[in-house]
Amino acid sequence: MHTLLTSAKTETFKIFSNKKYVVLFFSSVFVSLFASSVNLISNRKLGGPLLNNATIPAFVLNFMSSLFIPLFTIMLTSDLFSGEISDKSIIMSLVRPITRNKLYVSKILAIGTSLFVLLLGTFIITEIASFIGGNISYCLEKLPFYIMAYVSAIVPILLLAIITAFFAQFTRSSSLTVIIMICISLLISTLTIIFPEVTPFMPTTYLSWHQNFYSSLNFTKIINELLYILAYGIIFTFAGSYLFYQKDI
Amino acid sequence: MQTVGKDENMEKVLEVKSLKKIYKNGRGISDISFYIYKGEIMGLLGPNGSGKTTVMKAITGLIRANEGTVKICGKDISDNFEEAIKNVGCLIEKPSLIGNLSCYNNLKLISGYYRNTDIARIDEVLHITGLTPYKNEKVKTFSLGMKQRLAIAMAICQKPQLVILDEPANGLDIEGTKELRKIVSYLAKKYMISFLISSHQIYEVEMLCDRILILQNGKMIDVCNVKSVKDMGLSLEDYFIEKIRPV
Repeated sequence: MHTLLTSAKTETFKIFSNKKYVVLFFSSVFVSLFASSVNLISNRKLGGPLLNNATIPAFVLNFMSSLFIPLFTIMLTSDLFSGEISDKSIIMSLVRPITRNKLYVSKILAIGTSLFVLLLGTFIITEIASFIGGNISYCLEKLPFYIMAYVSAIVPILLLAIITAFFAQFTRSSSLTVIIMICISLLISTLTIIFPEVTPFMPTTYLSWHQNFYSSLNFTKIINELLYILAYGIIFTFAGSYLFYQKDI
Repeated sequence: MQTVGKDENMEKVLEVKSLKKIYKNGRGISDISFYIYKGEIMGLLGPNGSGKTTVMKAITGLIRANEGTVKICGKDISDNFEEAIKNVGCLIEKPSLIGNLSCYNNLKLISGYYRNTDIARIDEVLHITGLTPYKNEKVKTFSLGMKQRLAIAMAICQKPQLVILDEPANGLDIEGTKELRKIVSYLAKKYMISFLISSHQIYEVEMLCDRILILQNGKMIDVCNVKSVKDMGLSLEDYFIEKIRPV
């Protein structure tokens, strides 16, 4: 456990010192402030806001989780696995007293931690933005739902990181892993359009799982989808860590 | 098994037996067996592609051997990797460092993997490797030689019993190479740390190592005592060329 946590800490440090992470963090701050500013300006000039101020956290989370965060998760995961293998920097971690399986899990944990910090930062900024010029009582009413949505948003993101880590085991180039993941996403999207009946079985279906927490909670749907996420998570974690264990560096 | 020039009862830090690793392209190493004793410096010599790095990678578990065993301080790396690798510090291929962190923080991060590492030890290894004046500087601003020194500091930070260095003088200038030689000799003598060093700089090997292992085409062709070679009136270079010359 000690080595797992130490390794997770080391990997998190690596992510925090990554310029991509800093750029994404400031992008999320920018999106939050932009949404809030547009609302304030439209309120003054057009006589009413474009968005309900209280829904800014949901708007930003949807925007971020539909494009920025998945793309960033894929890039980050491919950097931590195939990227480190290609530039051999993974050797620094592999020659420490930690098994490969623990190292694999610690990298996933580090991705989860850093994205959680990102979501937390975004949540705080968007909440402040929603309170400025918004209906305070309505904002407070929505607050518990948004806390749940932001916390739960990490679950589908982790699944995406786990799937990316699995595919990263087949390449020694981080950009190739990103391309593979984009191709797989396109393929899945095409499949779900041609054969809608396969949609529930596709892992990408559950990437918007957090949207279940925006208003009234349908527990049956939430648990049902969570089980799918867990099943895919377990399968891809075992398969990925097995391939990582076997890999020659 | 070849055990030249040392007492069989001496403590073996590394035991490699019948090591074999064949890559998909058919190249690799086979039937590699040797020991390294406590405080001994062993050189690994061989032409390009002879399998030096493969041997080092198999010892540190970076590649999975097809056959054979590797024991570090009596612990098999395939059965008890964490316990075995605890005793090893290494620099393989190129220094793997976190560029955005300072020299000190790189060492601090690595020492976290080892339960008993004292924080004061970081200052000690910085002093040994001559990096104390640069301890707070970001590693991305370092020259290759300084990175190499930091990688050596990282390799010795947890007081390992065995240090594996793959081409450690790469990128070092004349002064840096001399410094490296001094550091290795000092650690071997003072702390009884054993070293396995691969290098193409045969004069360095001759000056530094107690024994050498010669590899060619993935096979071990000789293990010899450097002093014995000198006693024969040969330079290590002549001996090496004689050994690898096709019959």
